[in-house]
Amino acid sequence: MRNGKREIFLKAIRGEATERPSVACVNQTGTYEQMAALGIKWPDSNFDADLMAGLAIGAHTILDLDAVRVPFCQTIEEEALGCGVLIGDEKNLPSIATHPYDIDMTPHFPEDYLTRGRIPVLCKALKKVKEEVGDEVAVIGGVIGPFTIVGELIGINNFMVATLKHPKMLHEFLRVATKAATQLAQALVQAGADVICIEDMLASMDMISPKIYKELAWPWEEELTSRIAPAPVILHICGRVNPIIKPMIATGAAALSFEPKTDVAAVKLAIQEEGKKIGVIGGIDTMKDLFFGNPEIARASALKAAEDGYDVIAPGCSIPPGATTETIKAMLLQETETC
Amino acid sequence: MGKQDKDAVMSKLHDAIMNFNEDEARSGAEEAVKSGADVLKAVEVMGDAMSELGKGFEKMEVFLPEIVMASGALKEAMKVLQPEILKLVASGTAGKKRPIVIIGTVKGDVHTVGKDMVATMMMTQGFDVVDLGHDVSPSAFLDKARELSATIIAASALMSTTLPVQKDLIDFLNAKNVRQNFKVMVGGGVATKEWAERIGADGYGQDAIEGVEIAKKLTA
Ligand SMILES: [Zn+2]
Repeated sequence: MRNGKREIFLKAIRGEATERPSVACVNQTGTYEQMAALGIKWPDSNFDADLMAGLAIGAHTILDLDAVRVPFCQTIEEEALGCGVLIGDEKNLPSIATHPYDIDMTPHFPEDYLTRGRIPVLCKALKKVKEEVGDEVAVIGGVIGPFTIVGELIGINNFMVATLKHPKMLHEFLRVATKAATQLAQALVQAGADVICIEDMLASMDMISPKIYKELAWPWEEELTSRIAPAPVILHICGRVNPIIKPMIATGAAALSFEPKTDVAAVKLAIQEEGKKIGVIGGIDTMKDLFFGNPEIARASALKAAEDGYDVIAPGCSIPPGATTETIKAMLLQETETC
Repeated sequence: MGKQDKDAVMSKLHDAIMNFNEDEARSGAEEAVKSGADVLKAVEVMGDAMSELGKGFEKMEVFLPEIVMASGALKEAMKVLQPEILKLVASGTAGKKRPIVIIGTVKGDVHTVGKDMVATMMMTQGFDVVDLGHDVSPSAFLDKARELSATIIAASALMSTTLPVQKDLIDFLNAKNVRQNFKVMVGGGVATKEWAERIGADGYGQDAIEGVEIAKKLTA
């Protein structure tokens, strides 16, 4: 096992220099090989705190990454707010099946939110991870961005149309979603999370325009980030993010995580222009390097990521569960391998 | 109605898609039918407009909400035009046979936005498209394809966990000894050309526009 993981990761996400390249994954880390090795499988480990913690710790004990994270799926807040969830199976994560609201309805924030659905399971799992390995590795609590939560509350197609036609009608939904994400994030920090990762998948330029991002996603990411402070936030957005990099910086996030299709040189330049010190996380293509790839390919991309100036070498999004341990571990560069 | 009016209808339909205006698309389609304009041409014109938007999307000049709305406008127009096309088909005047495509997102996967786009685009380019929605099992694909004597089965997967289901589908068709009866296309955010080749698919489309091109080649 590598040394100094927690400290190295917590420095790296702030854009500070580290004695060796930090390597981690800030999105889901479960793989079939870890499940087999640990004897902990999906779907159970998405519903039971001890099992969730057990599989998450594999990112430390098996993959040797600098951080561990819960949860694996992206459905917990939505479920607690009324979405119907398919539980998945041993190969597939839970997914959202039903959307409780139409755009013209008024969303409701349940006062007992933190006791609903699997939120207590997630908080308990994080606490357990912290107790067991929190001295050695950084512990990441994952929450979903408000914009993405709203997309699931009313269904993606209706949501897409609403962003153009009825943006004002989304306001109350976004407020409720931000409250939900804030309460969960604060609970996770209380349970021992060192860092909160906000995954705002739908705030991607593959889904919306920079203008819509600025109007409907950014203000709520900013609010959420400021309410999580002083705990550091990693903001993860899938797909191409170059056109929104400056507002992403302005959320106050400690670090940004994105896919390799984004031009990292432009991101670094933007950070410099804003006079900020912000960690840049990514560089590894989840499909090309980890799923279709092999250890040689993954290692070459990790070396390139270090060279390109990523502060944390990481998959650009969730680890594909079918990726092998050997390929994932090929990302683990030694200190002598980079300048 | 003269040629000029017919041209005006065509440009109205084109603009309705470009401006993603459902009302204009529907009334344009109604005018086209009333004026005796070539309904197949009308569909094609809207398809071309969708392709233009698709190209804008690649360049980050057009974004998904616009595409979704344009697609909604096109569907409105199709409600009016589809019955007319079926009449032409029945009377044997629709030109060459319209190949039937069975499309869906594979079992375990609930993502539909990309698949919907491909379905819409194919509809405008001379295909009869039957959309089975999401979470579609291999046997559901096969049952429908058999029932309708489909030419193409198109399977979308958006997650690394559901990508292997595209292979399951092809293995299933092989096991049932019906693989040769259909052309199988795969696509979706995580699929690649190499993957399509590896699992023995007949075609792969990186996006909706390419998907339609491949479908045309497969049925040429
Ligand atoms: Zn992502």
